[in-house]
Amino acid sequence: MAFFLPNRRNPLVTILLFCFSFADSTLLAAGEIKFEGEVSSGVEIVEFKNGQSKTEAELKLETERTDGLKAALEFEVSNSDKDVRLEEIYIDKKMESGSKVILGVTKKILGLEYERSNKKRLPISRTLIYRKLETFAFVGKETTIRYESDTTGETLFTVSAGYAASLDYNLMGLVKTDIGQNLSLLWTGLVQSDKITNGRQMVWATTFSLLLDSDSHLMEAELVGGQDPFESDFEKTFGEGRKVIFAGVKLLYGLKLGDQGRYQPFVSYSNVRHDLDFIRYYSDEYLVGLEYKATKMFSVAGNLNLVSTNSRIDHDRRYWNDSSVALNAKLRF
Amino acid sequence: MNRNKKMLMHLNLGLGLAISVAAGCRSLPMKEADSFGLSLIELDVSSEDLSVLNSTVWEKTPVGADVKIGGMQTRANLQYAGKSSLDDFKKNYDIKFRGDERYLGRKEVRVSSQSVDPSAMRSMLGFWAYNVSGIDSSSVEPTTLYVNDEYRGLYFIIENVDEYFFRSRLINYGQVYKAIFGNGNFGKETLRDPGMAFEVEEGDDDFTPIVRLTELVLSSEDTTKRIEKLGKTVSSKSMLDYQATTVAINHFDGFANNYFFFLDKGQGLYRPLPWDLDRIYERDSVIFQTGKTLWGANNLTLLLLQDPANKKYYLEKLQSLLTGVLSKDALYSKIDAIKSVIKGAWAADRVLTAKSRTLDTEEADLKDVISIWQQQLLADVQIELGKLSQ
Repeated sequence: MAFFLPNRRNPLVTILLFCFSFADSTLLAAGEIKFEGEVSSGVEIVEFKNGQSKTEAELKLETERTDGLKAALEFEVSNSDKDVRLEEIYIDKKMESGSKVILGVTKKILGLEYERSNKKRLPISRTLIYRKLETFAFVGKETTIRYESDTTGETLFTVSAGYAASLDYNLMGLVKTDIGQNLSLLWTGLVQSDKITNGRQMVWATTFSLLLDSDSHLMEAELVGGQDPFESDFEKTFGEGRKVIFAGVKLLYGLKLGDQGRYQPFVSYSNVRHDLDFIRYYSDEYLVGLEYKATKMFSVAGNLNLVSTNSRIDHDRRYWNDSSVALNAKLRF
Repeated sequence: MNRNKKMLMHLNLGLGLAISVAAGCRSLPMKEADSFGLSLIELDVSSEDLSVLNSTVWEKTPVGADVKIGGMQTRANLQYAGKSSLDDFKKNYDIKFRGDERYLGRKEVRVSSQSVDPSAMRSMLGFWAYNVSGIDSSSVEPTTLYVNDEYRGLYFIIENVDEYFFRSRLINYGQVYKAIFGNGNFGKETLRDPGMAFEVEEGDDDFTPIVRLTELVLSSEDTTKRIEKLGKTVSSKSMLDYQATTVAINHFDGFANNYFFFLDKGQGLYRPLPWDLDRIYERDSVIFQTGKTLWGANNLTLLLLQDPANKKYYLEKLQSLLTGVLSKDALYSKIDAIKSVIKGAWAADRVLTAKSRTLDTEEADLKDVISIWQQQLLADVQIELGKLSQ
């Protein structure tokens, strides 16, 4: 079984692993390391013809906070990819003021779906705009140092500096504030220096989100925009250096029905304009789904996801290749 | 028990509904990949895995991908490939099948963009040139690559020099090195840091043969004795044959870089193999110098050429190539054949067609460079042969 790290040649990871080696089994016996994890199994029928089953497990280990310090480690494994992937490994130092400094390999927080735990996400997979951000590697894992303000206050802000093994460097920021009535506002931003053909380029992305999360409703409204790193690289290398800007919107509305919100049906619409200079070049996602929480730990979900895309050169012809039907069962512990 | 039954009922209901919806949506229009008459590779990678791939470009972290290749559909490890080409817009890929699947007998496939070459003809021409010159060389197949239904352009499946390469050619091999970073010329650069001049592709992580050979090449010992000693470790004929073709096709990147150097256990001698031929006949990369360029730039071969018999063999070999299998007419004819195969995929490739390039102008440019190179080189070979006969 192969084993690899997101930043295996980065000395920082080696140092962190070295630190973890001090967390011996006596800590576990004394209950000083806590586990949390998830096993999910499902089937996705892509393009309505190719059924693919996938079973994956995530396991997170976290030490108890001692002198304000704790460490965390998260693994992921799936039946389709035999490797064990180390997803996150970091040290978290909490100051007396309540603020925190996090150092290690951890996720980049850009937008609501990365700010909130995926336990609270209703769709089985991330929605269209986040899949685009993933493709750009604007989200995902990297070596980061992050400052987080006191999380008990009404307003949270974070700033971070990160490095990825694609030789990209970035600065990220986040502000989240509760505005009452179960409503909150979130802003996130990224500025990144990307290694590209024959040099570097500066790219950016930003998100604005409004979230309503009450006992009976869930509503997410998001605006996303930024500079497409790949298309801009192409334009810089082969064209006239035009910066390709994309923009997207996502709306999601869900209901929490039954005892403790056991049934959660939802609908979602996303639209991404891939290049604002070619405004008619876009993708749509229509998503409808239902999550049924059988117990606190076990849930079953079904999604119908219709995604249509045209091309920069042919606006009228739309294709539905990314569409799918998915069914998933999840056990959290 | 009741709860379990209820859950099972929900699951069945969900699954049934999913299958019904899937069946109902089958009539939606789907984009079909166009192969342009070539072989077709389709990669399906999740956005999460693309995020890993694109944030670890220089580590080449592998991710899972569904691969369709040669009518076969399977799961594979996918990673970026190459060294200096890693920051290219059109990246290279290594596909390693997870199960027992093979493509043309191989468990691993290198899909290369050869993006340095705007004509996209040089690699095919180069590997063909070594092949017709009687030198073992990788097979190369033009292909069309799609990632998540998006056409990524004209690519090449280039046969890796690995266990399968040697086995299929019935070569009993030992240590295999690859010249890297332009330092593999058996000169001072090689000796300064052998690990920055060659990398071990197969065998032990040991550079002793490279170091000893370089020390011998650079020593002040009598030339005849050095060549005699060299002949006990290296196949002189193979080195000279390789160099003759390398010079004939102006593969200037193949003297200190981008060639394999392996132990042929059958002969008990080391010999070279060509690699990465996307810069052959590159305009303006080499300024032809009469009396110098034809000898190449590899110190080991330059030592061999100090022996008059080796020199005669080399010059005659070069002359026979330039007037025979690698004559201008033979090369032009091969270019015409390659062009007719790749033209559809080339025309749809946004990188190749950038900057208003056309395949016709690229072809004309390549033929022009060949014409000039052949004329200069053949004249120089004849001058040197004349000197030998005096």
